[in-house]
Amino acid sequence: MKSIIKSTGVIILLSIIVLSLLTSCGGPSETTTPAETTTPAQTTKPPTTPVQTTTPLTTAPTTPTTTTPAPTTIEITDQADRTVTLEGIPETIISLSPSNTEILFALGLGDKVAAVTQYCTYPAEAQEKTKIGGFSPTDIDVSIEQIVALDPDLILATETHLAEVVPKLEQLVPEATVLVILTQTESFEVIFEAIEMIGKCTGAGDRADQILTDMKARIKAITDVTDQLQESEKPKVLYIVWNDPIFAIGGGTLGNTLIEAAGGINIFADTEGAPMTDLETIIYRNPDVMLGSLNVGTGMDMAYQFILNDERLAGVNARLNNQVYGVNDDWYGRPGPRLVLALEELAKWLHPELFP
Amino acid sequence: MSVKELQDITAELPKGFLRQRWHVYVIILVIVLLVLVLATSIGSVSVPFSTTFSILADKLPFVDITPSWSVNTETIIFDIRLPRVLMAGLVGAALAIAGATYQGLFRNPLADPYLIGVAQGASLGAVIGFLLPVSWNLAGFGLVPLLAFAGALLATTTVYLLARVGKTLPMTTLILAGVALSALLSSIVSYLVISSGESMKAIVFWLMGSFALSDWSEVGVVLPYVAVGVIVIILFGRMLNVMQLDEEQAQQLGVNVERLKIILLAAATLITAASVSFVGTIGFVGIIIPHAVRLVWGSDHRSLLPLAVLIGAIFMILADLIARTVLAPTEIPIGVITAICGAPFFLYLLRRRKKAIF
Repeated sequence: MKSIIKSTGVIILLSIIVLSLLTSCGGPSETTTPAETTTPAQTTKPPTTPVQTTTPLTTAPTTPTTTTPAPTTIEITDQADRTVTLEGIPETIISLSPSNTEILFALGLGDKVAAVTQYCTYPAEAQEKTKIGGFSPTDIDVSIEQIVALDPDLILATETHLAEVVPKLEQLVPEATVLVILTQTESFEVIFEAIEMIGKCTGAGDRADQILTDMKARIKAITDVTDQLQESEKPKVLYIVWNDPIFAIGGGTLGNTLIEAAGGINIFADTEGAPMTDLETIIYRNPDVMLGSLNVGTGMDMAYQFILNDERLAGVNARLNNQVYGVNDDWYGRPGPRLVLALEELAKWLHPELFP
Repeated sequence: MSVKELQDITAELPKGFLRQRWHVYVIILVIVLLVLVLATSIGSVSVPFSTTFSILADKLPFVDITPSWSVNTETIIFDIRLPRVLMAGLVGAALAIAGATYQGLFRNPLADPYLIGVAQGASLGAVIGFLLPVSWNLAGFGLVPLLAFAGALLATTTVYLLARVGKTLPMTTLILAGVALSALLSSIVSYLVISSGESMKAIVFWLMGSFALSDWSEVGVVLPYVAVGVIVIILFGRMLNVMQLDEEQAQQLGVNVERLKIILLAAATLITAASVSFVGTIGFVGIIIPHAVRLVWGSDHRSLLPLAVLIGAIFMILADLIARTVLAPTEIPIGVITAICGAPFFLYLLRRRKKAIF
C-alpha cells in the first residue's frame, strides 16, 4: 500500500510538472478573438434541409443554423441545478468532456469550439482543436491557465468538474458561462435534456430539436418492439470493457440502459457502475451474447479478444452460438447523439429476426 | 546480534529445528491443504462442497467418479478456482520467503522483496506492454507478463551492476542504488500511466495486483521458478544465521559471503519477478509474513524460511478468498485485503510479544 500512496504522490507531482510543461510550450492556439464578430443573431437563416432521415447522426451540417433572434440575456438552470446567465450567443466555446464535444459538433457548432480535451476523438475535426487537458476528477488535469487565455463565452463542464474545476473557473473566468452537463447517466432523458440545453444556450435550438426528433424516433422504433418481449425472450448479455482484471458494465450505466432498450438482460445489472468481476460468475450466469470493447485507451481490442478466445469461456452460450461482438466503447459509453447507433447495432445482434 | 546470542540460538536448536519441531511443519502443511480445498470450494458462485470434492478427487490418478455435475461447474472449479488458489499460494510463498531472505541479507527489518527494483522494473515492463497497440501471445505468454518479467530482471541487474564495488557487493550501496533506480522507474511509470488515457484504470488495477485471470498455464510457468528458488534459498539460507554477524566475522567463520549474497539475491529476485509478472505488485506480504513467523517461532533462518513459505501461502490464499467473495460478484483488489487484514494482525503480534524482534 505504501508504494501505492507513494506513487500516487509521484503521479500528482509529475502531472503538475508535465502539464505545466505542455502548457508553456504548447503551440499557438487557435484562439479566435471574440468581440469583433457580429452582434448576436443577425443571421436569421432557416434550416435548409430537414434531418428526418435514417442516416447516421454522424454528419453535422456545415453551417450553424440560427433561427430565433437570441435574447440578450437568458437565465438557465443546468443539470447540476446551478442557475447561470448567458448573454448573447456564445462565439467561443470550450468543451471539457468528449460527450459535450460530440454534441457541439452535432449541433454544427464545430467552428465555435475553441478547445477540447485530449480524449475528444470524435468527430475527426475535434482532434485538431486546442487541448486543454484530460478528463478527470482533479483540476490538475484541466489547464485553467489555457482556458483563461482562450477567453471563452461558454464552458461545457460535467459533474466531474463540480468540486474543483467549476469554482475555479467561476473565479478566474467570470465573463464565461459555465454549464454543467451530466455525463454519468443511465437515462436517455437526461441526455436529451443536455442536447436541448446546449442547443438553447448556443442559439442552435432548432438543430437540437431536429437531432432529438430523429433520435427519439429511432429509439422508439426499437423500444416499441422490444417492450413487447417476454423476459424469457430476452438474451442475457455480458459487456466487458477490460479483461485483466475483468471490468464489466454494471447497472446504473448508459451501457446497461442500452442493453435493456435493445431487448436484452445485462447479467451484471445487479452491480453498480463498472465492477471488477470474476470469471466464474460469468460462466455461472452464462450470457447468450458477449460484447467486448474494441477501443480502450490506445485502441486495444484486448477485451474483445479475451471473450472471443479464452478457453475457459468456451462452454458459455455466447461462444457456443457465435454471439461474440466487438463494440466501439464511445458509442455505448458517451452520452451523446451516437448512442442511437449503439442501440440499433445492439438490437440487430440481440434480435436479428425482429430487426433485419 | 552478537556471537554469544548466535551460539545461544544454535545451542537451543542443536540438531536443527526440523528434527526437533517436526510436528509444527506437519500441522501447518495439513492446514495449507485444508485451506487449499476450502478456498477452492468457496467462490462467488456457490458449488456444493461435495461436488467440489468429487471434481477434485476425479482429477486424481486412479480415482474415477461419474460426473454428476455440468461442464461449466467443472470449468469453474478446476480451470478457474483451483489454478487461482494455487497461484495465490505460490505467490504468497514466494514473496514471503523472498522478504525473509532480503531482511536477512540486508540485516534490515524494513527490507521487502521490492527493495532493489523488482516491482518498479516489472511495473514499467507491464505498462509498456499495456500501451503497445498489439495484443500478442507467444506460447501462452502474454505480452504484459513477458515484458514485466524482463523489466524486473533488467532493473535488478542494473542495480546490482551499479552497486558492485570491485569484487564485493556492499549491501548499503545495493539498497541505495535500488531505491534510486526504483524512484526513477516509478516516475517513468507514473508518467506513462497519466498519459495512457482510458486504459489508466486497468493499468492502475494491474499495478495493485490481482489473481483474477490466473490459469493453469500461468501456474505452470511460475511453479518451476518458485520451486527451484525456494529450495535454493532454504539450502543456502541456514548461512543467513551467520550473516547476521558482521560480514567480516562471517567470512572468518568460513562463509564465502560474496558468493552467498549473489546466490540468495538471485534466487529471491527470480521468484519475486516470476510472481509479480503475472499477478502484479502485491504489497505487504513480503514484510509482514517473515516478521509474523519470527514473532511466533523465532528468527532462526533454518526454521524461518520454510515456515515463511507455508504461512505466506496460507495468508495469500485466504486474502484472495476474501477479495473475491466479500463483495461478490464484484472483486476487491488483493493489495487492499493484504493490508487491511495483515496490518492489524501484525500489530497484534507485535504488541503481544512486547519485546524486540529481529
